Amino acid sequence: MKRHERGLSWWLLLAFLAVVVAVSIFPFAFALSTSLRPRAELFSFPPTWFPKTWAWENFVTVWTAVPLLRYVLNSVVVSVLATLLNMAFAIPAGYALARLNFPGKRLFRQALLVTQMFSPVVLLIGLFRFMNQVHLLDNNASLVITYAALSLAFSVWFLAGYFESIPIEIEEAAMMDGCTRVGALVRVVLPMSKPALVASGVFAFIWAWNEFMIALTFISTPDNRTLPLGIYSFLGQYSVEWNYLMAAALIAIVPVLILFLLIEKNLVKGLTAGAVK
Amino acid sequence: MPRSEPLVGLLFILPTVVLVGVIVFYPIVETALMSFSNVNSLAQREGFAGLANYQALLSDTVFLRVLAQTVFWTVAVVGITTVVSIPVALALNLNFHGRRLARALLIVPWAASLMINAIIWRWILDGQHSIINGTLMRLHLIDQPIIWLGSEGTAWAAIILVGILVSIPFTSFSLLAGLQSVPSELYEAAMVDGAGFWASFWHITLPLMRPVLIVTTLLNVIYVFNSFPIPWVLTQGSPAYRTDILVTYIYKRAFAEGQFGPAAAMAMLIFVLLLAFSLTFSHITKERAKVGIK
Amino acid sequence: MMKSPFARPGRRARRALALALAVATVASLAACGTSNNSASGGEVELRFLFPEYSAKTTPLMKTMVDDFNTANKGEIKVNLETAPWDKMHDKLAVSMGSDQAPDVFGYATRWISEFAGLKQLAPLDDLLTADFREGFNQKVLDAGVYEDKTYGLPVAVSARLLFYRTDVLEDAGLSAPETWDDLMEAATKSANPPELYGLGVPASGIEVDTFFNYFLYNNGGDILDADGKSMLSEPESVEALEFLTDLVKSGGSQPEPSGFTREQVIENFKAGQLAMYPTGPWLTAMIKADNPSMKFAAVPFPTNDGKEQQTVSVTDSLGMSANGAHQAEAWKFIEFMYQPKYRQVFDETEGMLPELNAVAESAYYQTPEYKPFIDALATAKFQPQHPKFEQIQQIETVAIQKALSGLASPQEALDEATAKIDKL
Repeated sequence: MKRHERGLSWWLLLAFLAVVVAVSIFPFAFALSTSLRPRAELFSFPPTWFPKTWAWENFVTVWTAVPLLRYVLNSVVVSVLATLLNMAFAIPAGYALARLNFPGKRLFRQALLVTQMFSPVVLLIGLFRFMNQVHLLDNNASLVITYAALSLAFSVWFLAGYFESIPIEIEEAAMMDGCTRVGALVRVVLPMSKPALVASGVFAFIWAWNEFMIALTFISTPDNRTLPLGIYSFLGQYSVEWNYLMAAALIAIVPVLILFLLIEKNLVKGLTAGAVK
Repeated sequence: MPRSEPLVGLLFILPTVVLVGVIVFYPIVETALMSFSNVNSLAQREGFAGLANYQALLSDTVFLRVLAQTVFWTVAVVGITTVVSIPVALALNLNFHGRRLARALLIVPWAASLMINAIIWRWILDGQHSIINGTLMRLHLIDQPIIWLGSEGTAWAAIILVGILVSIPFTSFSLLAGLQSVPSELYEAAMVDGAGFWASFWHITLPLMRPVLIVTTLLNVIYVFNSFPIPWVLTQGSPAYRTDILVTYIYKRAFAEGQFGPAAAMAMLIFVLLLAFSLTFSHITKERAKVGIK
Repeated sequence: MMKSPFARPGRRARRALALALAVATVASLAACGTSNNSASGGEVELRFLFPEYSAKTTPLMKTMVDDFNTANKGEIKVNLETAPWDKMHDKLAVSMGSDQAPDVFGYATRWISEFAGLKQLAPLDDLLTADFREGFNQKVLDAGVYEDKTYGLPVAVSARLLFYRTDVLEDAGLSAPETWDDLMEAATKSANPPELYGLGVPASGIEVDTFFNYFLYNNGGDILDADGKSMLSEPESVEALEFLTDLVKSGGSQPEPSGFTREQVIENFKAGQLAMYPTGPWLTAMIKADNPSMKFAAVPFPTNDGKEQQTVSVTDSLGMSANGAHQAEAWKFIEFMYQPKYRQVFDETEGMLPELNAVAESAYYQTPEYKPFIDALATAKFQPQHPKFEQIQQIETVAIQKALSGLASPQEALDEATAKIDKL
C-alpha cells in the first residue's frame, strides 16, 4: 500500500468517499425503515425517518404473503446453474482468446461486443420464439440457458484478460512435461486464476439473480417464478405494498452482498488483471 | 505470444459460439427481419416492407426528441459517474480504518438489481410521501413538497442521479483495480521527487489508469444507453415522452402500441449507433481495448 | 500458489468433473421439456392465464383451479398461469403471435376488437346456454360483444364513482358536488396544502385516459365516433380538458399531476390527504382495511351544465383461444369458474363489482357502501372497441399530459391527438 502523507488531499478524498457512500446507502437505509413499518404508517404525513411502531413481523409475514421461499429456491437453482454453464463455456473461450491464434479471432471478439449492444427488451420476441420452438417456455431451464449466454461476453473478456497476465512459460513447461493443451489449462492456468474465476462467476450469478424482463416473458406458472418476479407481485393494480416489497427486496440483496463480501479481495485482484491489461 | 493452433482454438470457442449464436443472434436476426417487414400487433411478420419502418422514424418527431434525450442521459450518467468514480477509487486505495466497510457499503447498489434500485427511488421520490421532502420541510427549507417526478427538469435530475448511483460501484471498482496495478514504487519515487498529490495524480496515476478508463467508459456507454428499468420505473416517460429514452420508447411502441415494425427499426438503429460509437471511440483513443475492437 | 502445478488428478480434476456434471444436469433439464398439451391416460391439459390484480389473486385462483382439478380428476387438468396485470397485453400478444395462446385467459375487454380481428378469440355464443346467460348482469355481459358476437365473459367489473371525504366537505360548508361548478369549488375550497389537497389527478402510468373520461363523458363528449374517428377536438372534449387544466392551475389538485400515478393517488386518498378522487369499489375495501375511521361517501361523477350523467366503467373479460385444441373442456372449466361462490370471493377480495346477479343480490353487495356502485352500472359507459385502441389510449394520454404540464394548450394537445388518431 502506498503511503501518502495524511495531508489535505488525503482528508478530502476520504470526505468525498464518505459522501458518495452515504448517498449510495441512503435509499437502502430508507428501504429498511419502510420494511419495518406497519401498513397504516406508510402513508403518514409528513413522512418520517423512523417507524413509530416497529413492525418486525413484516419480515416473517412476507414469507407467507407470497411463496417467497419457493421463489428464492428457484432463483438459487437458476442462478447457480447459469453461472456454472457460463463458466464452463467462458473458460475455454477466454483461454483461446488469450493464448491461441485461430481464424476468425477478431470477428469472435467483435461478435461478443455486439451481443452487448442489444437491450434484452429488444430481444424478447426472438427469445420467446426460440424457447417456444425448443419447448422450454415456462421452464426454468430456458432462463439458465439465456442468462448464461447473455453474461458470456463479459466473462470471456474478463478471463481472457486474466489468462494473458499469467506468464506463458509456466504452461510451456507443463506442456513439455507431456501435458496436453487441455491438461495445461486445467492443471496450471485455472488454479492460478482463482481470483478471476471467482469474480467472473459472481458477475454471472448476479446477472442471473437480478434479471426480470426475460423471466417475466418466459415464466407463467406461479411456482416457477424467480425472486424478481415474486417481488414485482407486491406492486398491485391499485396499491403497492411498500413494506413487504422493501422487505422482499432486502431479502433478495442479502445473498448477493454476502457473496460480494466473501470475494471482495478476489474481485479487485481479478479486475486488476482482467480489466486493465 | 499466442500460438497458432487453429483447431484447438476453434474447438475452444465453439460452445460459446453456439450458445451465443442461438440465444443472442437468433433474436437479433428476428429483430432485423421485423425492421424490414410489415408486422402485426402480435409481432407476426406479414410481408416485406422495404425501408418503410425506417422512413417512418425520420418523420417521427418524438423519435428524434427521444434520441436526443438518450444521448443527453448517456453522456450525463457516464460522464458524471467517471468523474465521481476516480476520486472514489483513489480513496478506496488509501489505507484507512473502515476501508473494508466502505467498500462493502459501496457495493450495495450493485448487489441490488436496477429494478429494485429504481423501485426504491420511486418510493423515496413519491409526490406526497417523499422522505426527502419530509426532511427538507422539517428543516424549513421548503414549505410545499417538491413533486420530483412531476416536471421534466426535476424528473431528469432524479433519473440521472439514480443512473449514476448504480453505475458507480462497477466503475470505481474497475478503476481501483487499475490503480492497484500502478506499481507503488512509482508513487514513492514521485514523493521523493517532491511531487505533490496533484502532480503525481496528473502525471502518473491518470496516464496509467487510461486503459482501464477507456474500457469502463465504453462498457458504461453501452449499458447506460440501453438501461431500461430506471426511466421506466421512475416516470414511464411522463410527461409526454419528455423523460423517455430510446429503449423505453421502443418498449412502448412495441408492446403498448403493437407497432413492432418501427420498434424493430429503432432497435437496429441503436445497434448501428453503438457500433459506430465503439469503432470511433476506439479509433480516437487508439487503444486496442480488449473489449473486442482490435 | 505454484506448489505442484502438475499434480495428478486430485481435487482439481474432481472439480472439473463436478463442473461437467453440472453442465450435463442443465442439458438433461433442458431435454425434458414441458408444454405437452395432453398428458398420458387421456387426461386433457389446459392452460389458464389470469392477470394478477393484487398479491392475493394467485392464491385465490389456485384454490378454484384445484377444486376443478379434483372434480375432474383423470379427465381435465388445468394449469394456472399468472402475470402482473400491466404485463398481460405483452404476454398475450407474444404468446398469440407464436401460436402459444393459453386455452383460457383473462384480458381487458377493450382488447377484444384487436384479438378477435386477428382471429385469436373464440366466439362464445354457441356455448352460452340461456340459463348461464341469464345469470349475468346483461349490461355488463354486453360489454364483451363485438360485431354481434360475444367474445368475453365479464370478470373484474368496475363502475367508477366520486369518492369524497364527508367530514372535509362539511367543514368547508359544502355538500356532495353535483355540477362542475360544485366540483371546482369543493376542490379549491377544501384544500389545505400540503396536508390536504382537493381532487386527486393522476397523469402518469396507466389509466390517465380513463381519468380524463370522467370529464369527457360528463360533458357529452366521446373519444371516437361511430366510424372510429377521433372526437377529441370537438368543443365538448376541449372544454373538458380546459376545465381539468383550470382545476389543476387553480390549486384544486396536487401540483404537477404528471408526478402521480393512479396507485399513488389512491393511497393518498386512503391516507386522508385528498378530499376527492373518482375510482372503483376497491377503494372502499381498502379504506375499511387500512383506515377504518375515515368518513367518506361515493357519488356519481358531477356533470357539466345539466349534461347527461355517465358512469365510467371498465371491465375485464374471460375468453377462450380460437386455436385451442380442447374447447369443450375449456368451456367446462369456464362454467365451473362462474359458480357464484367463486365469483363472490373473487369480487369481494379484489374489490370488484359482481358480474353475476346472484352475487349482486348477496348481503355484502346490498350494503350502503356497495349498493351505489351496483346501481351506477345502469348508466355505465364502457371503453369503445377499436382494433388500435391501445395506441389511441397512448395518444390520448400524451395529449392530457401535455395540457396538464403546460407543454401545449388543451386545444393544441387535442388537435394533435385527433390528427394522429385519424391517421391510424
